[in-house]
Amino acid sequence: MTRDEIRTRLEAVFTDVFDDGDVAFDESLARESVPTWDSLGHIRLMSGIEEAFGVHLSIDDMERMVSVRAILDRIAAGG
Amino acid sequence: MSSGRLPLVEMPWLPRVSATLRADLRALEQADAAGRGAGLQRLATQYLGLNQALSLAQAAKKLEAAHGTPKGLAPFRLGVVGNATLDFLGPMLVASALRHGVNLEIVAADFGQAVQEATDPDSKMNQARPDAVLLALDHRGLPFRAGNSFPPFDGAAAAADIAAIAGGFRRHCGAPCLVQTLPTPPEQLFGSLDRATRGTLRAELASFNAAIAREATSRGDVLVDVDWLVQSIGADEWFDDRQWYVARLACSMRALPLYADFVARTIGAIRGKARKCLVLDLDNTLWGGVIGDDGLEGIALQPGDARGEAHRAIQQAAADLRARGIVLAVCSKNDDATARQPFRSHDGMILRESDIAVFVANWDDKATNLERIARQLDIGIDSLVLLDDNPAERAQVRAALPQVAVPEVGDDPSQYVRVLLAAGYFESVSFTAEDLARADQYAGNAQRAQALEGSRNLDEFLVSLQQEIAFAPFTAQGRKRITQLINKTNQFNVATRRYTEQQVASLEGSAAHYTLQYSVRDRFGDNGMIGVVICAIDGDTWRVDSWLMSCRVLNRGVEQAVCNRLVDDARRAGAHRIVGTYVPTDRNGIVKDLFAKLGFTRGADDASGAQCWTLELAAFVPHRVFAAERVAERAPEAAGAAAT
Repeated sequence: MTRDEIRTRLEAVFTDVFDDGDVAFDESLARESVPTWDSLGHIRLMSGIEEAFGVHLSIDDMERMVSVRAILDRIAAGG
Repeated sequence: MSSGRLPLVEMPWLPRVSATLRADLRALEQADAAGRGAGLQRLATQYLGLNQALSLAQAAKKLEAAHGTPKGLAPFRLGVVGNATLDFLGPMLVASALRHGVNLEIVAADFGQAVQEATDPDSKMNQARPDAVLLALDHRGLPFRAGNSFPPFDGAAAAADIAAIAGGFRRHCGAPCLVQTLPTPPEQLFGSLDRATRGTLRAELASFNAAIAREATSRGDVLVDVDWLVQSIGADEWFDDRQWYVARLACSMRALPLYADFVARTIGAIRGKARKCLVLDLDNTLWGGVIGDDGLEGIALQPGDARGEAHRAIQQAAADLRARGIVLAVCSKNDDATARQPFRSHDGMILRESDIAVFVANWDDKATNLERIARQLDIGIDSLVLLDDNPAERAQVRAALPQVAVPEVGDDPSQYVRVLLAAGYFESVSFTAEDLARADQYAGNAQRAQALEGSRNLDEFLVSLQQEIAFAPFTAQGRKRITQLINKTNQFNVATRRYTEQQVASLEGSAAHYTLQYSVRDRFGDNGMIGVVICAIDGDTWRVDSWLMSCRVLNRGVEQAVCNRLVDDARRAGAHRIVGTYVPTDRNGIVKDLFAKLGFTRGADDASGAQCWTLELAAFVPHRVFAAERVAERAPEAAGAAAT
């Protein structure tokens, strides 16, 4: 999967989890700029990503994946 | 070609969620009251992940705020207490409850406050007066660990906690608890020896669960066997340690939809929404192949042949359901004579023609035939489950009659039984002698309908039934059945007041109340205990608090016989009048003229809009009845058992 393909699929996960059109989705988007991306929002996002990409995330992954860029890097790494 | 099936944790019986869910939800804003209720239930009958459930729950609450309670859904206020994160469970429960015909309102306790909420009479939960309280407790939040030397675990303190919590809620708000068994995590200490060694987590959880199952049912709480649910999907699916460490989620996100459905179907069962009748397709469902094309020799139905065994297993499952009181019907596109051939002449058949209460084989569309079946059995269309191998038929029925449960069973008959039974359509919170006899009673109904056609008028028919009716006040033995009737009966129910088992118990022998349970039998069979009356005694006036009856015996003069009995008892007790209340709902139109028919006079409505009807006893002339009063040599609730 190319980074663009990953980005497109990830955007759908974001829409599903955070459910509002107000969030501008791009690589620089980070946790502190999305009010609903709280600890429970994070768990929903992580499990949405696992489902959409068939990856298995460790607790370290979950701690690091707090921006779109970090998430894309992790998914591109596979596993 | 078989395409395999989804694992049970993904609820394979539900259609996958449509990509248009959000648009479908918005479209409901334009629907009328009945369309909103049915629409919410239809949209909830898809496999919903947490995000979709959140959308659905939000849309439902928005619709309710704007337009009031949607029609056709039973309201239920559920308290939820737990010792882990419950934020996701609430919306997931709301969405799942819609699937089971229940409009759920959640009252959530604060994190880890179960004991305080239960034992403090002024707690948020006790003040909220929930209909029931779900104890969503996890073993990691209960005092199971004894220490770091052997034995590491002891379940006694946890069992005491549960007893204190359930007891507290019963005392302070009268609500029964939904008590969960605890699933066993996959970690082991010795290995196989864990099961046989006291003090290991596995052994302590097992004895805890055994005690929970015993005690919950005996004290009137409702058992939610999460341990079994987790066994069916695998503990590795349920226990996600990452999610526990990161967010204190006791149940994995993946298992959450199934868990919420499991709780919701239990609540549906409490509200009388469980299904009553399994409708079976024939070709490629009860047997392999097409009887009209393949003939008796060609269909797969032999022991020893894999496909034959698979179809025989479906028949066996249906027979077992029938034996516990689920009514069976057949709905098949076939000529009637052809469809009956295997029942009459194939020795591989397990089901008999006499097991089928209504047998419909013709070329009409299935939705029309399902309506016909419901009518003949005198049950709601929402009581039906259709088992059919044909995806086109399933889709047609689902679109035409969204109230009928139609499981997606895939195309491999060896998987039908597990998927059908995992869906939990026939969930039951109690099991009484009447349940055991019910399938026979419905078959009796069909025979009675034939007898009616054979007799020239209704009076003759009623005389030919040779009905006998037995009356008794409420008894401890009848309590379960009385509670079941009070909570399940929607149609013949003048005030639709629901009472818990504890409340029913408190009426037994109450000096301020008159209680009556009655059973009816006739020459076709014993209907068992089918009616309940509760009156509040107010000086020389008896106020009918509740009067409800199974529709099985409707239009057979039973209500007149009950009225005569009520008047006799009231006169003997020195009363001068009986006041009946009719509270209209969208289900009980059947009794709107009941009091008028029995000679009551309508007065002014009360403050809540309920109709008040008065019967002055001095002027009462007994009604003609067609039922002999049977002096019960035993309590009427035992009658169903004797009939089996």
